[in-house]
Amino acid sequence: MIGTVVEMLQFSFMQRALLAGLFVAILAPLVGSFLVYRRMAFIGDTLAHVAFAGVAIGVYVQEVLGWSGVTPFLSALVVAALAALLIQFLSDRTGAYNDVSMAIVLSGGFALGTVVISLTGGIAVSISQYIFGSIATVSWQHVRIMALLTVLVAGVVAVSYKHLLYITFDESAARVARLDVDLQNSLLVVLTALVIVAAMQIMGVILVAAMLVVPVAAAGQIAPSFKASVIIAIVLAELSVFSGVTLSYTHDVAASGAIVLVAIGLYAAAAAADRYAA
Amino acid sequence: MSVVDLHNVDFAYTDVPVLEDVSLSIEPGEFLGLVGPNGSGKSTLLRIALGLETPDAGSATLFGEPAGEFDDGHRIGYVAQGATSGDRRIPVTVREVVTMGRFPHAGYGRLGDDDRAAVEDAMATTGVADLADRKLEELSGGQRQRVFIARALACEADLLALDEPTVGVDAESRDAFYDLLGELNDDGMTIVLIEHDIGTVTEYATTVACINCCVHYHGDPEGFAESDALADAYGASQRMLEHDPGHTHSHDEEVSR
Repeated sequence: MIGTVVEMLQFSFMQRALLAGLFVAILAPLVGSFLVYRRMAFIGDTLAHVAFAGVAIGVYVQEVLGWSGVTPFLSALVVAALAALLIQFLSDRTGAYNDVSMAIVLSGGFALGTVVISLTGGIAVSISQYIFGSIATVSWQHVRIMALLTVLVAGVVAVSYKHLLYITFDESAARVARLDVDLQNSLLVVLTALVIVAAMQIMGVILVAAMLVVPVAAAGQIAPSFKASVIIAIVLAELSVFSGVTLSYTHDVAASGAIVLVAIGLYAAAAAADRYAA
Repeated sequence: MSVVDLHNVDFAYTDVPVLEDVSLSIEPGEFLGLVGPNGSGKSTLLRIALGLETPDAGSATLFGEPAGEFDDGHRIGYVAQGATSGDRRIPVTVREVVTMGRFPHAGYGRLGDDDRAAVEDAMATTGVADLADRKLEELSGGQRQRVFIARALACEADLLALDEPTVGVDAESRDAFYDLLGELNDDGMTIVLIEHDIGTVTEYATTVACINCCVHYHGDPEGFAESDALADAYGASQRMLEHDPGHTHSHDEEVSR
């Protein structure tokens, strides 16, 4: 086992993949912990599918219009962040994270993505990398962005932790306590968009949201407190990424799928442990 | 200065009026019981008083300031409808919940020793100190209510606003809970309580307001029992039910977030 890991880490692309994955495993549960308990778990999926439209637009602008400054990563970031604020605005107006409007935004984003891709034509390879995720194409530049993002998101969550916790637990009371609920909600959805886009290249559009949800749900089964649940979620996510990436190397399977399957396995184990303890 | 002062308030979510020309004030030290049938606008009235909703017409002030602009969040302890029901699974401990009462004091800063002392005091007062490290979801309904009251005490609130806090709680815990509220009121806490059980309200509250879209009664509990307000308020809703079923859906439920 250790021999395999040492062997794997002799390849530079596996080093980059693992490092980027380990950053994802910090980022995703950090924001996911404040989404799952508010029944906002679906927002990750929605933003990922909308970000796909952003990727497609970026590819179109680069390939067809020839503007090399607009990378798919950048356009995905902008589109996802705008969609996040739109969803927040809609939910403020209606007083709920409406699953119907969320489903419409989700499919609308993906539909726009497919149409824009077909306009571009003949670049199916780089697109499928975004849909299913790819660890082989992670660059050092990408790893550096992930590192920077991890510092940024961890910093924001540390500063806003009290606000985020109060709002997650009891939003009405947080408003009465005159915490800045609207600002924090907007901040949270924009951070979520950042994390989704950053993790998308590795995890893929379809599976990226699982990292926001599954480790947090697993931690929620066994954590003795909220603070502990955030830490446990990160530990479980790291375990999933490490195992998933290693499995993808040893058995030549898709890393994103392996990571999510391990995470779900850990969730099942946590749920069983909770039942057994009760 | 009144703690809460509503003056000629109108409010509607859609084109069906929820509140019409409501004027009501709560004085320091008062224990106001707010009663009325389902969908009578009680929760909405409380949300307007706390600045969570803006009236369509009229004014709402909180400690002398317009309710929407009031920003001394620590002066109010609010327990929203359904907050204590425990139907949500979130792994927070009792201490974590009570500590939230200190967040308006701390803002973005760190919590200090005096914050932690206030939390321990509040848990001791409400009798949940020995549950401090237990998860909220493991507690009974009666214990959960005490945790929410502890949060308001930790906050050093001057006004306690409770929206049907005893739904789904056994009779014994309810009595103990209302005894606790009575003691807090004796110590000077201003309380506004929305409660279905009119018997409880008339027993513990110092004043009663009966509303159904408009105010049907506002005065002492003794006078309320002798008045026709109850029949007026509840009878009106009965008639509405018979004549216009389209207007009987509960606005209280619509706004619970």
